[in-house]
Amino acid sequence: MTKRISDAVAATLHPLEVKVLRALKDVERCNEEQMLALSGLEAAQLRTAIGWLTSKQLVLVSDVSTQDFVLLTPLGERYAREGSIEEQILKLLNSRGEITLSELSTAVISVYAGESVSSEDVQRAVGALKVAACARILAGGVIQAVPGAHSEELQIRENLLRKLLEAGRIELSSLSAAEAQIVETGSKKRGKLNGLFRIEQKTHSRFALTPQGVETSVSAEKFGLTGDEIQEVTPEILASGAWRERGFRRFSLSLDPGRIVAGKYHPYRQYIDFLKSRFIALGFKEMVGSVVETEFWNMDSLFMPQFHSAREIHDVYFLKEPKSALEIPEPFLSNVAEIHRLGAKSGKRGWGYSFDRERTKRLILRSQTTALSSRTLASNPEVPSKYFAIARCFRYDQVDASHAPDFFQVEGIVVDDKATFKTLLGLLRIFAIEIAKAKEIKFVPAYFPFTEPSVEIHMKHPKLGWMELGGAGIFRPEVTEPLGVQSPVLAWGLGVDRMAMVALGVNDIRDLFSRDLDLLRRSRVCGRF
Amino acid sequence: MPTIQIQSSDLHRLLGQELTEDQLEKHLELVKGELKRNEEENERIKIELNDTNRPDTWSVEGIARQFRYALGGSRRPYAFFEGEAKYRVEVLSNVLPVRPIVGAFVVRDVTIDAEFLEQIIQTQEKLSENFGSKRRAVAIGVYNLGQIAFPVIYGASSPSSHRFVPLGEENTMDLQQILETHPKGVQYGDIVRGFSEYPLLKDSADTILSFPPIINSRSVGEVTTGSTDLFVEATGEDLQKITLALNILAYNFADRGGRIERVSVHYPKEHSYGDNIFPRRLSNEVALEHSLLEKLVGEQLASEEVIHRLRKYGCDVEHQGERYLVKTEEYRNDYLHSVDAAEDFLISAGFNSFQPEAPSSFTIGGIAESTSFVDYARGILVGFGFEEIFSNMLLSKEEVLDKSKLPNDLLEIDNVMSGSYGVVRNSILPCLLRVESGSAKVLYPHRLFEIGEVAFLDKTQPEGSRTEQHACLAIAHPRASFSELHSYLHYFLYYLGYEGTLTECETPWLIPGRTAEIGVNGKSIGIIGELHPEVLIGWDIKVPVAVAEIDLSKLMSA
Repeated sequence: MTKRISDAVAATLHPLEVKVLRALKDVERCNEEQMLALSGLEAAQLRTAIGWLTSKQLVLVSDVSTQDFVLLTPLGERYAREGSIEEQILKLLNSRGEITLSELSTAVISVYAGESVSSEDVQRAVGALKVAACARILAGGVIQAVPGAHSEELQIRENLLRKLLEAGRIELSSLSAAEAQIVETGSKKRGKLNGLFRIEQKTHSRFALTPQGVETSVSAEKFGLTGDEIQEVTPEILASGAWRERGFRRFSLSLDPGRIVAGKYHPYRQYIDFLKSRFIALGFKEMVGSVVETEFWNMDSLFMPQFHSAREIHDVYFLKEPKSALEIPEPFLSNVAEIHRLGAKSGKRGWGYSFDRERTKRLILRSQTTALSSRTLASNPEVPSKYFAIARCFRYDQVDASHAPDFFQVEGIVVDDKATFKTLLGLLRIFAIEIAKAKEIKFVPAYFPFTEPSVEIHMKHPKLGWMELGGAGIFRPEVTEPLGVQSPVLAWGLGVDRMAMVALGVNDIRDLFSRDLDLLRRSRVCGRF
Repeated sequence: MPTIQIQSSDLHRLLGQELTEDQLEKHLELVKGELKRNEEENERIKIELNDTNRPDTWSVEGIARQFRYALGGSRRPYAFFEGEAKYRVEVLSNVLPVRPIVGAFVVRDVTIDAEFLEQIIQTQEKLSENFGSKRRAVAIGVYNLGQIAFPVIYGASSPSSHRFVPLGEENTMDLQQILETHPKGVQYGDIVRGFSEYPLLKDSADTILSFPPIINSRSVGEVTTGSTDLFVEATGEDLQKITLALNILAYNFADRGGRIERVSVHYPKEHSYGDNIFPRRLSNEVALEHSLLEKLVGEQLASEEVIHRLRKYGCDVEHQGERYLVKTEEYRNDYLHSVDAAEDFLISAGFNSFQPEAPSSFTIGGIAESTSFVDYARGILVGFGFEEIFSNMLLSKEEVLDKSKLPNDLLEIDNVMSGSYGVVRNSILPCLLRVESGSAKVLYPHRLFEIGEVAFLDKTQPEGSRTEQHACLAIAHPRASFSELHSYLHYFLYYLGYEGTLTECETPWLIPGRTAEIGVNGKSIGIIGELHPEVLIGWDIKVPVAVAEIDLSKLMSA
């Protein structure tokens, strides 16, 4: 053991350990009595400290042997002082001649008030006297002493009781065979509460410092450790100022911390909080809305023709009850119906079909956040303004590693007379750098029914390679005109679930909504994505 | 969005040059295509095409055509939009109520090898499935020309009056049998099932060509390698769509070396359907203002550049002073607005050739008032030592009604995918109980919360429902009790600035005598109590659970 290590071990010794090391320092080896005297510890404290020190290999325990001692129980002590039940009975019989069993019981029990002596004990004692021919039972339950009778066994027991009362304890091996027999039958055993004797086993061993123990005790001495260092800083110690003299025990830093159950944000929710803070920093206002939408706001207002393939029952969830909204506000309904048929005023033509004004009222679970954008556009937004929403969307999909029953989309719009294709690219680049921490990005032509031009932004992930970050575009005039918006509107959406999976290191989208409390407790919520 | 499979050697043959995989990926941006997975063994390539308005890009011929413009290939003359029709199709009035539109053309002298045949079948399928709304709007048939005696007759027939051997069968079947037992009849039968007569295409010698839109006759309608002369028809509901589908096929056959001959379609005089000759012009053209293009792009552009880029994308451009008349070949019909031509310009120039510009307008950001409130509430609960849960909103009716014994004001999904996700949650309680149910082995105490949206049926609202923000708190451990949760609830409301009162009440999911309605300023905003053992047993939860659910939307306005 190097000095450095012995210093380190010494620094974190418990005060009890210090006391033992100090006690053992000047003796080659010693037994427990000596140790108690030298260290000033209680027996239990000594045993604890020895346990710690032997496991640290600082103290060696040797010459282990055991010794049995006989001691009196509290009842035994009472017998020794007041005499046994048998003696009491004989005394009563001798003084009163004849007496009934119940009178005898009452009289005897009153002698031992406070001890659990019962009438059964008295009966048993009477039985024993009868067997020893010291008493006899006459007709009518009257008990009478046998004059001049004498029980040797009773005599030996009385003597042993007195001897033990005087000595406190006697080694079992020093008793005579007859005495040992009495101890055996009269010992306090399981289920027999009224025993007179108990056996105590004493372990003897001898303790010595190991070479490491010697070095450690040298280190401890060097640090001036006495074992009286303060363990817990209590209000009393603070009040008394005792800490000024005593110094503090140094704590071990290598122990595992105990477990706690702590309040904690959910990791995915916290990631969404992070996203929100980024969009707010970039000047976007949050949009919120109902999870139940009409086909009108979810699709028709976005110039998706009613025959569009993404509008069938295998793509969106329809409500069972009620099936339709009460009404769609005007002039939006008429404007949208007309533009589907004929196209924009500034345009060439529409989809050329007759718009179904009942179908547009059908209620669905919001399938794209864009529904919130179209509602915002219809609410006469300021120019310039920027909006975003992180909202739950619902699609008819088999739930698997990449499809959750419902999922989040983040989406937004920029209503700005100065908005152009180049500012759209600029905005997307800011998102990629500020939010997804992208180093390399590229723009790819895309198709969305409601934007023209439409673009996808891809980013190069250090491990996963090129991945799609989101889609965007400039809203078609067929979307903005019927909602009363004259300015160009940039629209964008990012795959929030995918970004979260990358940021949180999750491979299965269902784990974003994990029900596993243990997993949640182990997950980190560092807030740096 | 269709995904097609092509062979790279076939693409290279159509292009007249080879492309590396990188070049291919780059050029696929021109058709909004995405390379899916290159199956090396048989050198087949999977490509997903994203533009629903450009079905011409859903075939290897169409992809090659769009690439050729960019690669500088010379434009080909496609001369099949002029001239007389050599062949006739007669339409009978009885088919008009069922499926009124038909169009057709003829291909001569084309060489069909195995790969081309596969591509014909694939294109036909993608056009009728994706573009033709699963054959309802467009269904296509291809036949051996030599076996047909013109004119071809398109009429309707009663379900049992005609029999023929359909593709994939050995014996003759009548139309009703085909509908009931043939796989295609089962798959597409709904399109015609409601009518008393079904469409039938036959020739003047009474030979049956097909039962549109279900199945071709095996004798005439089975094209094989080695076929050279074909009759191609499409039936449906919409003339523009039929025209576009046939034009795309005509261009594809022409690019394979076939000679396209025109077919005229004649309607009964008493009906308003006009006669047509196919292939027919769609006039996909739009006027594009130069200033509008510059405003949209965000920079000054030279006219020569605009014209050059559009031509490199296959557009005809006529410069008319301050604007351009932009026109495409007849396999496209996607110009609804000048912005569509503007996008062609941008794609041709390459999106990455434009310098991104940071938006310069100043706007003020902020979260919604309700979000702000929710976030404060979440912060308080985390401070109390509660762990946040975040759940899906869809769950099963059983979890809400049977297991949690909550009231049935649920919004149910009509077209459920799975019963496990059949309703929208009207309470957050089942979501927390689902977590608690699986957490018996996780170190106690469990103090859980979730704040989020729930939705209810409410017929007084325009959308028949309300979406609200609820907060749900649950405490689970061997000594969890009403009074412990009551303390948390009290301080939760206190920190949010409210004073809560409790009024005893009863609900099926909480223990009577330990259940209370939470009131704030005289409004009932939630409920607190100890979970009824019936509910605990239902969720297989082994410890007592105290819960409180608060309507934050109501609390905010209380």
